[in-house]
Amino acid sequence: MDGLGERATALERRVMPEEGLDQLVRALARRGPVYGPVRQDGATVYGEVEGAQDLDLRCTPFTYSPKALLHRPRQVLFRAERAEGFVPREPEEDGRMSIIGVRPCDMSAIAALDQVFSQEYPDPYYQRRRQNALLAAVNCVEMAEHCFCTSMGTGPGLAAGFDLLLTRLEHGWLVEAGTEEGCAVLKEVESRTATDRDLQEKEELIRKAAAGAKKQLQTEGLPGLMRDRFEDPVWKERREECLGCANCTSVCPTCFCYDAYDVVNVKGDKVERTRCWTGCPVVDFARVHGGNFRSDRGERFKQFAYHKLCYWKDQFDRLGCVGCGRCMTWCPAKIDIAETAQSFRRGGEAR
Amino acid sequence: MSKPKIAVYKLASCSGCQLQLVNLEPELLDLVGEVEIAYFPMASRKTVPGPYDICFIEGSITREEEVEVVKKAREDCRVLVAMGACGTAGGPQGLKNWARVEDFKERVYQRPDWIRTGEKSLSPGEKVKIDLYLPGCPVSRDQLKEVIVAALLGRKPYLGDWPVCVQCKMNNNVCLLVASKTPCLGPVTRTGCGALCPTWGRGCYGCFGPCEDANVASMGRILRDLGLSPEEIVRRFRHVTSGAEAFREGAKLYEGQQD
Ligand code: SF4
Ligand code: SF4
Ligand code: SF4
Ligand code: SF4
Repeated sequence: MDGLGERATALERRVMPEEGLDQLVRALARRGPVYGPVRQDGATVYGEVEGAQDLDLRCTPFTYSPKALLHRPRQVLFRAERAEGFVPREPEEDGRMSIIGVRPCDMSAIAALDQVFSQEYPDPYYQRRRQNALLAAVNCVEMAEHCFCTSMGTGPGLAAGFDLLLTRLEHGWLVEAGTEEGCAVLKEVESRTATDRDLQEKEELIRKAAAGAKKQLQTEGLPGLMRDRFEDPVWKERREECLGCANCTSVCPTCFCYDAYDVVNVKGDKVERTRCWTGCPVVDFARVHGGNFRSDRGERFKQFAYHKLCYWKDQFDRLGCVGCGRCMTWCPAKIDIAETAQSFRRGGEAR
Repeated sequence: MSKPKIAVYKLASCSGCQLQLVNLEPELLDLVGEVEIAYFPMASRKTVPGPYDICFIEGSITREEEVEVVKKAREDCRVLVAMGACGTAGGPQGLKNWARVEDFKERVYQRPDWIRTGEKSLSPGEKVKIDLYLPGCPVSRDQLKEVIVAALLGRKPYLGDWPVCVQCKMNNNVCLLVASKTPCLGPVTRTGCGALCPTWGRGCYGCFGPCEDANVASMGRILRDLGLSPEEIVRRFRHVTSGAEAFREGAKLYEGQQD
């Protein structure tokens, strides 16, 4: 994975005119709900879209990831009613959906979640949503201030894993189809065959975007470096700053942790088990019978930083960070784990 | 087996928390089927003598005789639950703890001479042992129901003692503090409201009081960076739960500081 993805593996490559995007969204909408980045309160969040006018496909500083569409913030696991004993019922299934505008870093994060939710404990809830989702990704032709996908090898271009992949050209959109379903969608949209020139333009755009990266995290030997610096005084500073609010883990596209609880009705004959997002910065997270194995806020923050940049490697044979820059963007205390880790290379200081 | 008895006591408060109990519709009728509402002057004239199984106590102690009510509630009840900002942290009336009570009387009431109140507003927990604190201004109906159901089932209630931010993000809200620089106490406030205010575009006022291990020092610095004066920061921490320890600390960090 070089993150440039100039040459994506595609079954078909076509170019749509400007208006093609709207046709594309409508073609997807015929298959089920379409979700994409929409503007809301000064940021971009994933919401349902009807046409191209609803979408904001730029790589802007304040964005949320599509994680919530696949690993739901709240997910009913089962419902049960008292009859002869309790009879559990599976939650209702959702049908086909499309997610459009997924950025290369987030595609890498989805690949990470696929791994997390299919390995030791296959997770049917995630897997169902995932199998139902058509992914229409978009290459980044510019990089925002906090992006460091070039360091993590996850962007700004995407090489594989998509149903459809869009690139904004000077005139129109290059659309690459990676699956049969992607090809079928593409057939419903007005387009022409892409030429070598179109592909060259794409390569050029991605290379230019990559050259504009402002943030860097050297990943070579990073897990080892993190281990060496486990007792570094810098963690004490972070401890004083960190609020334990879990905004970082909530916005992080690869964080997968959850809690589960039962809601029982007053009569005690109906129960609903739900799981909901939680994250290691929260006090409750490591509370088990008899105590809390991370009662110190500093330790909880370190779990976040270390899981992403160190432990993940042992657990899933890759880093847990895709360089999307969201945790630092949305941290109320402006804590930047990449910058903290990078500061070790410089021998100390800095945030 | 006889039905568990529930009692509801009231001290100095606005009655909003008790009202949440009454508002438990549509499950209220089921509730009456499962428990006996033994003492609840606001909802029923009928009074069944104690002992009671679960007792909710709303309000704060602002007069000497209320100490007796609290002690009686403790004696009469197996499980004592303190409700609301008043019951857990002295409530809005706790503001007088940080000022002269006479000044408040004069500003608030037309006839201050008719008002009989003590110097301080204390939460019941300062006088007797409380088994469970259920914060909120008012308490959340879902949490209230959860406490009752948990008691009926004999398990621990699931209340989710984490910062409001966690719920805020589950609601897919754009963070106000970051995106629009709106002061928000979400990172240090305990959830339970479902991130009500941020979901409607308002910064969290902290009405559920501090979450566990709230980092008020960092919160204060963030508010200061947003341009709030020390006095404004003190006011935010004191607002409705000024008696809560962490918020008391937060206010102390900025009290008396010049801009
Ligand atoms: S690092 Fe930032 S976002 Fe994460 S818990 Fe700490 S203060 Fe919150
Ligand atoms: S750790 Fe931060 S930068 Fe890395 S993927 Fe998660 S949110 Fe993005
Ligand atoms: S960083 Fe924390 S919240 Fe995220 S996956 Fe790891 S343990 Fe879970
Ligand atoms: S708006 Fe407030 S409660 Fe919501 S995430 Fe931001 S700081 Fe937290």
